[in-house]
Amino acid sequence: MLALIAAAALVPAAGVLPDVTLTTMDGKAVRLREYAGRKVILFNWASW
Amino acid sequence: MFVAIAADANGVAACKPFYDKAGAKFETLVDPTNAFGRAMNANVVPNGLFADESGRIVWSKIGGFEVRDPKIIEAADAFLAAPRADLPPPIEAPPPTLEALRAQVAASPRDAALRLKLGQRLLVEKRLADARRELETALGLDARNGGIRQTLASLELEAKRPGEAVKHLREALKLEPDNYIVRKQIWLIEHPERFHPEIDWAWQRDQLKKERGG
Repeated sequence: MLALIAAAALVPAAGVLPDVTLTTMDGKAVRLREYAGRKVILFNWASW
Repeated sequence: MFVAIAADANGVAACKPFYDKAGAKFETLVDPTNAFGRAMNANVVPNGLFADESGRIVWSKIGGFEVRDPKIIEAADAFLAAPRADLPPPIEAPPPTLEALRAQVAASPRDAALRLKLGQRLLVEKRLADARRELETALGLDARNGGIRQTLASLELEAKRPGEAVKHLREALKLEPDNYIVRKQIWLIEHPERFHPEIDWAWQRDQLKKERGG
């Protein structure tokens, strides 16, 4: 798996999921840390 | 699981058409104040992070994370399929009540970061007047905090005052000239025709050159 990660140019990271509250597509508030307990791939993007 | 976080000061309304068009089956969250980006020290998108079951971020790529890259897809599949590691328990997350946040602010009334957090939470809950009060107080305590400006801009967009939003974003950009999320938010508000229905990348390159004095 490490070889795959290296090939994808991902780098080792430190820290934990930040304690931020975001909004779902139906307008509900959700705390990012609620996802802890599962493996999560986060993709941070913008429409612009 | 896969979670997308859309950074857009215009909130859900701006992101939903892309979400619908993509027929997204995965969880998508919106980050109108760029709280996530700031927490990750990211002044660009797209970014990718892999977090394990304990909430620990183990791999990341800030900027240039191409979600359709076969190598990224393969790495993500391998990460998700790997056996559960012997990890510490997940992050403890005390109930994120408004009352708890208000109590923290009351205990440390001169803590601008705490007031920003409360203001962001109030904004997510559409309590605009309360959010404005917290954010303006926060700005009075820390005038050089771009995050407060960016959150105020998002509030102004929510209040349908794009001109006021741009003023805050311009102040944020003065503080953080390399923050491309802020820069592009300004472009999006002032030149929406360059972003919809198609993104005009050539215009963005020219605009950046112009603004950079080159």
